[in-house]
Amino acid sequence: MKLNPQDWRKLRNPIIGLGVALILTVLLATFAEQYKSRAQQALQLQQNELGQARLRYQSSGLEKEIIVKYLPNYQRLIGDGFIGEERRLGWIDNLRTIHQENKLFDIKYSIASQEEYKPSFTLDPGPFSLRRSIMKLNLSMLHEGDLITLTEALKAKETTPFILRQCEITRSTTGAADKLAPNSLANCELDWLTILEPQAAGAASP
Amino acid sequence: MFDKIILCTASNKLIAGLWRLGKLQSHQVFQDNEQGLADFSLFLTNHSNIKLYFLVDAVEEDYRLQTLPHTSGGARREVVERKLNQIYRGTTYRAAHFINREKDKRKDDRFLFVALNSSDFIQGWINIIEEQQAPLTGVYLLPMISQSLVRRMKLMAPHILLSERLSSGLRQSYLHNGRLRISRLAPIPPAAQSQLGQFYVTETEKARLYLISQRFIGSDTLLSMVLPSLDESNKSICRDLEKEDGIECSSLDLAKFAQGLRLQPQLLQETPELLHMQLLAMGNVPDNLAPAYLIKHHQLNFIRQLINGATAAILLGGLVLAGIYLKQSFDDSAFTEQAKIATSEQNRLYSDVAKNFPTTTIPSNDLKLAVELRQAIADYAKTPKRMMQILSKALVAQPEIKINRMHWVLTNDVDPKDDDKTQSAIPLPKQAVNASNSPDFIPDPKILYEVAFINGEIQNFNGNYRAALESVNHFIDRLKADGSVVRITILQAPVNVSSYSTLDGSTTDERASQQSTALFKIRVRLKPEVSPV
Repeated sequence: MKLNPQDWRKLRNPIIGLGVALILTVLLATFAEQYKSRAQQALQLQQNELGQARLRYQSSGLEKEIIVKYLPNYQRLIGDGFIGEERRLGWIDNLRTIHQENKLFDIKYSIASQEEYKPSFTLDPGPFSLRRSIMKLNLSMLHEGDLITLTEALKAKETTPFILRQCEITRSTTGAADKLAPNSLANCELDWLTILEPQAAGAASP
Repeated sequence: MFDKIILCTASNKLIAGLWRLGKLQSHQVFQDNEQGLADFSLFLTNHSNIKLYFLVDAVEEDYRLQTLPHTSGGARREVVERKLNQIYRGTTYRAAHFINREKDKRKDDRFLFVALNSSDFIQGWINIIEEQQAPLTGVYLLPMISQSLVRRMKLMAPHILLSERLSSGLRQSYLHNGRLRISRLAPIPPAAQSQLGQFYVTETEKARLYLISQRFIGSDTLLSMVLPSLDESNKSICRDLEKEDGIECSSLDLAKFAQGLRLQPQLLQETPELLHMQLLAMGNVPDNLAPAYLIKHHQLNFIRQLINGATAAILLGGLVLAGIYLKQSFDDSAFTEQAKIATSEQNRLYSDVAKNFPTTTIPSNDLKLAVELRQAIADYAKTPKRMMQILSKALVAQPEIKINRMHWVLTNDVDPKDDDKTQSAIPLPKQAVNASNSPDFIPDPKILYEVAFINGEIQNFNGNYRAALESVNHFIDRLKADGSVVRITILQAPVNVSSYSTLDGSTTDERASQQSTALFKIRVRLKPEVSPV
């Protein structure tokens, strides 16, 4: 059947009506679908919140146990300087004490500025902000045992948590004419690690 | 939408009936004169946009049984159209009714070609329909409805001669296996009104002879005559027919049949064509004889109704869908409110319990995490002590080996490099020699390993490279013997005997007063001491 312009005029209104109905239906369905999605999301969020509230209440006994068990340790870590600002003067004092107590040769140190640290190995700081100061130690030694004495003593102080990342020990080439002269040299690098509480980290960040 | 107007022309008049949902609502008769045409025009004006079905009951009809090669789709339409043009050239109202396929030979298609030889007697009505642009669905021959009539009456005889008394006269239709083959209309002259029995006998004999002459039946074929009647009057005619023509004749109760079709039998008394119109209104629509231009308004109407129907369906579908979505939204909102109340209740219970907790500024899990983090860092904190002990143990048995430098690294690097600037030993080609306690060992990049780069030399070296190499190899074997060592890599050897590098020296090296040095460099990797948290 061939349609002439007159026929098309007869079909014009129904076709326009169909188009309008399509647009209206799409708009209506889209609006209703979005409304439904928002309601679903709100329900999902509320159910999650409810689940967390239930879990928190159910595990309140365990929570109390954890607080009782870990709060003293946590407060001690604050006191030690692991949590919060690092205590550089205390560390230098410790180093001097170790030097004097063990009659070591001169120890040169250098502490770089603190920076945020994201370790590449397994160490999850959770909500805390992990900070690192790179420390360099330069130590003249009578023998290699002096390095062990120093690192073990630093570790024994249990004040500044650090990870010794590298040590290069080289034999002195000047010879050992004097028995009390250094025979070798150690250059070490340490990561001095501290953490900041979440709210403190938020305030510290620019 | 549910209304239909069925028109039927019969002996200079037009019967128009209005059907709604298959039930006759009213009917009118228009005479074929100026007044009748004007009334019909008014009737159409009052019933605009209702589908029209035009039935024709007239003597100006033609039936031809034809076979055509079997085709389908467009090819069939083309073949049929060509045949129609061949048989009915210049005829406006014509159609081809497919009967069946022949069972033998080429299995050709069998068609009944039907036409109105003259259309002058309906042209007046058609002109009005065209003027009014009424939606005419088609023009149909009344005998074509007879097929539906026979089917509904459940008449199963193979050769049926259906004789119906209509306004135009006696219509006799021959049906073979329920399919129309031919039909004829014999007007009843006034003189025959008083001798209907004789008239029927004469016309039936004529019909039988015609059927024999056209080879529709043989002379010995048992013809079943069917006489529908509103009363008992046809029974005597039947007896006459059986007696005179020797054919089987049965009279059918038309009143009962009409009641079955929800049609009042008394209406058939005056207008017997209403029975055929009723069957047409009930959907028994035969092949259309009208050309396409006459039914264009109906087709346009049909398209318009389709579009309107689609519009309504889309709107309805959209509303239903939106309704379902909104219902789900309201349900979800109600559940959300319930969950809010329950959450508040849980929070209140927790607050009551938490009143007795020690005061802390951070959550309990974070307290635990901080303490465990401190321990994890402590676990990572290693010193070169273990490496030194392993080296010392190996060196005790080999005093000729002297360590000049040790670079100890705590790293998760899979292939750590040394930044040694003091080296003077002969570097090995790129493929450094590995010696390992665990051949399948692959370093875990998430774990810190102790790795040491050892620079050493053979003391009192006298130029015997073979002995120097053996000495270094023994040193490596002793290191390997320690369970803490996971891999040793020889980075530099006292002498490189590889065929891929140059080797310089002097045969008097061993006797030379100026002794050269035999330097070497190895990389030692230890297993993790404890698993980090």
